[in-house]
This record gives sequence, C-alpha cells and structure tokens, in this order.
Amino acid sequence: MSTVTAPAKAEAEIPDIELVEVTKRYGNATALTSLSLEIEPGEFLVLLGPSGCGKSTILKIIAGLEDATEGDVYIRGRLANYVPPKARDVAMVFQNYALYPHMTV
Amino acid sequence: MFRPRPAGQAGPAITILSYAVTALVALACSLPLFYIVSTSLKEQQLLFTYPPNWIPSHLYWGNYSSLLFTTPFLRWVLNTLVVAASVTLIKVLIDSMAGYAFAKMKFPFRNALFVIVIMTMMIPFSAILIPLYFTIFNLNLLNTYWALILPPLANPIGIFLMRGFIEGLPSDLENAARLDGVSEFGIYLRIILPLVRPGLVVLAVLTFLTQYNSFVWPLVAVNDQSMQLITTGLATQRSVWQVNYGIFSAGAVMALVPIVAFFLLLQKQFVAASLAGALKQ
Repeated sequence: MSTVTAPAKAEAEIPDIELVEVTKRYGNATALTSLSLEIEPGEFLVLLGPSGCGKSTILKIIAGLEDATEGDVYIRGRLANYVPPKARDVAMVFQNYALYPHMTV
Repeated sequence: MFRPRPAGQAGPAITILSYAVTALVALACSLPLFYIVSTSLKEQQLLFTYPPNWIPSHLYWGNYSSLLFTTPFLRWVLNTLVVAASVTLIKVLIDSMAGYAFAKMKFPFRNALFVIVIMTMMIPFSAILIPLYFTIFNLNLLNTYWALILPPLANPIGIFLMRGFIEGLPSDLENAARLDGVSEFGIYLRIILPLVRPGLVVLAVLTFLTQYNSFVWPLVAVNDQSMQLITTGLATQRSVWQVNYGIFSAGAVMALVPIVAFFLLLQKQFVAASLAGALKQ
C-alpha cells in the first residue's frame, strides 16, 4: 500500500504501543503474566477472551490508570511507565459510558 | 358473586386495623408535643390541676415574655445556631474528604487506618469527658465557641458514612476524569461531591440535629450565661427548690422553630435521585 507522505523508515519501525514482559498482580491474584505485545501505527487490534482474563487490565495499563507490577510500557517509543494518564495522549472509552449526571454538554 | 382478591391487596378488616394502629401511634407521638405547647401557655398555678387542663381557658403569654426578657434566650439560640452550623459545615467537608480517601485512593495501611478510625466510635463519651475537659482547659478554650465546635469534629461516624456512599460510585467515573488530566482534588471536588449530595445531606442533617440537641459536653465546657446553648441555658433556669415548667415548655416550643425550618429546607434533598442516568449499561 502506498502512502502519499512516506514516513522516515526509522520512525515507521517503532510500534505505536509496545508492552514488554508486563506482569500485573493484585495482591496474590495475578492478572497478567509476562505479556509482550506490539501494536503498529494504524493497526486495528482486538483483544478477545473470557471475562477476567485481563483485557481491561491491559487497557488500563496502557492508559495509565493502573501501573504494571513488572515490565515496561512504551508509547511511540517512549517509556511510559511513570507518565500520568493525561500526558500519554491516549483515549479510552469505558465499558459503561461514564457520563456525569450533574454536568451538561 | 365471589371474586378472589388480587394478590397483595389487604382485606377491609386489615385496612381498618392498620389505619387504627397508625392513628393511635400518631396520637401517642403528638400528645406530648401538644401538652408542651399547652403547658407553655398556662400560668404556674394551673400547671398541676386535676384533671389536667388540656386546652387552657385563656392563653397566658407570660412564660414566653419572661423567657425572652429575663434570660438571654435569643443569645442562646444564636450560640446554638453558630455552633451547630459550624460543626455541620466543617464536618461535611472533612468527612467527605476522608471518606473519598478511604474509599477510592490507594495507600499503605488503608484498611488498618480505617479500622482504627472506626474503633474510636466504640469509646463511650463519658470515658473521655474528663480528659477532654482538661485538654480544652489546657488550651485555654473553655467558655469559647472553639470548646463547643472542635470536639464534635473528631466523631468518625461521618467518615464511615461518606466512605460507604463514595464506595458505591463506579470507578469508571473517576478514571474517565483521570484520563482527561483532572487532579485528585479536582476529582473529589467536581466529580465525587456532586454525586454524593444525598449522602452529604444525610450527614448534614444528622450532625446538625446531634449538635442542636447536645447537652452534656456544652454543660461541662461552658458556664458563662452568654455562652450557653438552648439546652444548657434552659437547664440553668432550674433552681434547687423549684422548676418552672411553664418557662421550660416555652423554651422547648421556641427551640423547635429553627430545627423545623432547617428540616423543611432540606426535605427535598432527601429524595433526590442522584445517579439516575449516570451509567448506560
């Protein structure tokens, strides 16, 4: 597929989001074990699995709402483990639309 | 023709009986109040006639005038309102903050700290009355508003209550705000507080009523006539030899006015539906 403005090669090779050996534990319960994952720019990725398998945990770790117990999260090539949610420039839609009943548009 | 009664609908006998019981209970509850109003409008020598005179033949306003003009009653009302309102405002603020921290924030020893806070509820007030008196005495705060306002703030029931209310809010609401870069205090102020308004009202009413009726601690902490609350001020009107029930009753009737006004003011909030439409499942 041809692109009008081809990005520099080095830039194109950096995945948009990269998880390296990410483990998440809540107390004694382990939600994720050494998960490694790369998502390329423009890639459409679906996480599929039974409930409780850690899909939402992955999303929360990428968004910065949860910290990974072990492992690293890279967003656009930058280590993002300690970047607050706002600074990650990541959007997330919650399973239940979180609408504030006391606010108007 | 016999037609079976729909399920859940009581028969006429049950209906009549339940109305009768309700009416009896209502009467039993309102009689003392009526008797206080009636007593406040009677002269001293008519108080103990037999059979009791429920409706005085002529209305005697002397009890009210002697309470208003021979005692600093209006000052007591002012003191009570200042103390109750301050305690209520501060308590609603700090208890909701503590409740938010205990319900939603993650920090070490959170549950242990909460248990310690709740355990202070189990200490009877009479056990800390004297140490508390000496604390306030050493701080030089006896006979001041601070003596009446500070100690009730430490009561943890509000933290317990607010934690329960805030824990019930879905975490998605805060997380959505967090993604947009709202600070932790901003989440408390702009997301949590408006959503737990019914809880805040419950806490406010509870605190205000408790303060309005409080007696033992104000009796100990304050002895200036001008610093008395309604409850303790009325108690000072009792001498060793004689209790003027007419003046007591007039004071009780007048003390009802602010509290009834307060209740009517906040009544609508009790039934406010807070979370309707917050989450679409």
